[in-house]
Parts: sequence; structure tokens; C-alpha cells
Amino acid sequence: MYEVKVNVYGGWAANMISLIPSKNHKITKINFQRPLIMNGIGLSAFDENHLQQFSQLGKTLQDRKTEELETQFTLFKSLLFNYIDTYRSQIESNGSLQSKIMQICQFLNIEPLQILNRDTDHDQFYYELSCKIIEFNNEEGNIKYGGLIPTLELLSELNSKLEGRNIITLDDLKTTIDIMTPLNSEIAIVKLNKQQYIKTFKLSLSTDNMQILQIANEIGCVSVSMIRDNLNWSVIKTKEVLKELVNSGYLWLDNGETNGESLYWDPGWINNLF
Amino acid sequence: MSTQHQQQPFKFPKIYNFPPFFTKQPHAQTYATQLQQWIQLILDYCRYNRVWILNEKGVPLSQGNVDQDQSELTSQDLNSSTTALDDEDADVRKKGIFVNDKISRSLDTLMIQEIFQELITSGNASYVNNKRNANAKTYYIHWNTPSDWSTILLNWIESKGQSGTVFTFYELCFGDLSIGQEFYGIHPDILELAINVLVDDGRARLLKDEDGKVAGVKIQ
Repeated sequence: MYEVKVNVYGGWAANMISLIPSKNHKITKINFQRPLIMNGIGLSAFDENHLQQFSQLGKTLQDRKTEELETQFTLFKSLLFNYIDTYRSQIESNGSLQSKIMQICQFLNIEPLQILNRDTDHDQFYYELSCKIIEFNNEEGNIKYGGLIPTLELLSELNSKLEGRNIITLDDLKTTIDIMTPLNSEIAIVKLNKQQYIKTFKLSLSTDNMQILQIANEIGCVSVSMIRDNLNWSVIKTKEVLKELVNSGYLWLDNGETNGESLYWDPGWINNLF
Repeated sequence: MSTQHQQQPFKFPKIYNFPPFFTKQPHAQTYATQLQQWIQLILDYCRYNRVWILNEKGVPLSQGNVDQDQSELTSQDLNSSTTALDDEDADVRKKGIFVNDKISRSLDTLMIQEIFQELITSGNASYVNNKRNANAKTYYIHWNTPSDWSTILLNWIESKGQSGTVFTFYELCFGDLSIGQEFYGIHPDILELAINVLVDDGRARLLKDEDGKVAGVKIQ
């Protein structure tokens, strides 16, 4: 037997919560108690404190609902994955079923890459992956990386969306790039400072360009005098190469130095500063 | 809303500390990106701090809740006295958004003009009619465009069941019904622009007193 004391004017909202989970308990007697200090009569009883209690209750209920839905959603997703894995061959031979499943996945915001099998749907898998690379390049590539996308970051970005299914590896990227070459002969994987990058811009990376990019990549920015002193290039050549790199978007020009010499920055450093 | 924000200053994007961001980029595509980033930054900053007016140096001239009875200067003073929490934010109030002392860079005037021009073209800014000093250019920043504001007002009036009620401009800005709304404390000039949109659409009617001054507005 339980006795529930309800404080009418005080935290009754809080008591409501404690009532909800105890539905298997029998409530025999509800004891309405008057609080010692009254908050006010009439409308003034609804002061901020009370309103806050209401909104708190609302928030708790809402949170619980969201949590439940999330659990349900995760469960449904894992069951869906199971189903797809088990009946893969049937799904593939049945066009309408396949399109239904694709619809469900789209509705639930599931990456097609998560459900494709790279061995059996070889083409489709890499086709999908190449779309992802292009999307990534269009969204982030130009501004953040100046057309040179670090493969490590691309991989971690792609894999973060896949929730552990079908982890993409560097070899997958290489296969995809090979498939994409007929579309855009500029696309290739290049190596700078031991890091690999996907190059999408229309620029033949000559040894000169590469040398400058490597320096900019390491210290953030380069200047004409810096290049001249380190690589023993003539000023004219240095200026020409830097101009070419700026004009193709690989480097950003900075005229703000107080000593008057222009600096040329690697846009990849936007994320490294401060 | 704005009081919460004052404790947590606006977080500038990383590109704001990237020195070339303050030099006009010669490459067309890069420049387009740069311009877009600046516009985004200005709109985000103004929305966050509820800035209504910027001058041509990017210094906020009016921000926060603007009381119609107060002059614009006092509302600015109110804000600057509460600051000194974050350098970047305080710097913007003093020197404008186009100067970043932390990396000692400032954007050149030509590009600033182009930014404002672009903002005006896209409807996210408009000139302030300055009677006292016609040379000083100042701009209303429409992080919500007047037509956005008019939609917000209309939705609010409908949701409160106040369709057809006559409001004074002051009531719209500071009335009890407006508390908690995004337009609470809106700059009166911007409110007027929004109301004008409604008038043009035939959704609002201005009521004038004997002297021909606008006394109130009826929205339905």
C-alpha cells in the first residue's frame, strides 16, 4: 500500500512524474496538503517558478519520447541491415523489391554505401563512392583545401557517416579515382610530404609547383624572398610560379604584411590557425 | 535572448583568422568563395548580436533591443559597457568587423564596398537615409529581410488571435505579447520596412492621427 502526498501549490508537477512510472503500485489514498507558504492567490500563483516547473516537466517527457524513438530507430535500422544481408541475392534479382528498399533507406537517411556490398555490387558501390567524392569536393574542397583534398580527412569524413558498415579504405579511393579518370582526366592522387591528396583542379602539378606547395603545406605560407633564398630561384621565376598557383586557386594571396611583401597561403591552413 | 548571448560571445569562423581572407583574391572563383564567406560572416554576426545598423567600416551603430525613446547612441553605449569579455567581439564594436587585430589585418575599402553592394543586391542590406550627414554611409543589415520579418509578424498575429487588432509600433516592439518573440526590441526603422511590405500586400493598414503621423497599424 502506498500513500502519495501531493503538495498542491508547491512542486506538484514533480510529483506527477513520480506517479507515472508507478502504475503497478496501487495508490489508495491521495493526501492533499496545503503548503505552509502560499505563493499567491489567483493569477499571481502562476509565477515564473511554476511556469518553469511546467516547462521542466514538458522537457522531461519530450526527452524520454525522443530517446524511445531513437532506440526504436536504431533497432529498425539494424534489423533492416540484417534483412538486406540475409536476402541479398533475392533483393538483387527482384527489381521492385530493390527499389522499395532503396526508398526506405532514402527515407531513413541511410547512406546507400552502407547497404551495398562491394564484392557483389562492385560497379554500383564504386559509382556511389565517386558521387560522394564529388559531393565532398564541391561542398568543402575548394574553400577548405584549395582543390587538394587530403585523403585521410576524406576517409574519416566518409566513414563517419557509415557507422562502421563497409569501411572505406585508401584502396577503395584508388579504385574509384581510376573509374573517374575518363570523366575528368585531372583527377588523380598525388603525394606531398608523405600525405596523399586527391587533386581535382585543372593544373598540371609540375615539379616547381610541387616544391612550392610542399613548403606552403608545411609552414602555412610562402613569400617570394623565402622561395628565392631556399630554392635559389630567380625572382621572376618565383613570381611566375606563385602567380600560376594563385590563379588556379591552390594558394591565397595576402597583401596585409606590414613590411610590404606579399605572402601566399595554403588554404588548408584555415583549420590549423588558432 | 540577447542577454544570454552576451555571456557567450560570437564564435568567429576559423577563416576569420586566415590572413589572406583580408586581401581581395585575384582568382575569380576563389574571390567568389571569399565574398560569400564574408557575407555569411556578417549576417551570422549581426544575427547573433542582433545588430541592426553597420557603418561603412563595419562598426555596429545599433544593436540589441532598441527602445524607441532612446537614441541609437545610448543603446550602443549600453552594449559596449558590458563587454571586454572577448577581444574579438570588443574589437568589432570599436574598429569594425573588417579589422582583425589578432592577426593585424584589415580588409581594403574597395572590397568592403563590394561586400555591401552584394548584400544590397541580395536584399540583405539597405542604405540608411541619413539626414544629418549624407556622406557617411550606413547600412541596415537584414539578417532577416523585411519580407521575412513581415511573415514572422503575420504568423505571430495569427497564432495569438490578434488579427485585426490595432497595435502601436511601440506595442509591437515592446508589448507584453511580443516578449520572447524574435522581433522583440526590433529597430523601429526595420519594423517600418516590414510593415510596409505588409501594406503593399494589403495585409496591413496604417492608421494616422490628426497630424498625419502614423499612430498605429492594423494587421489582418
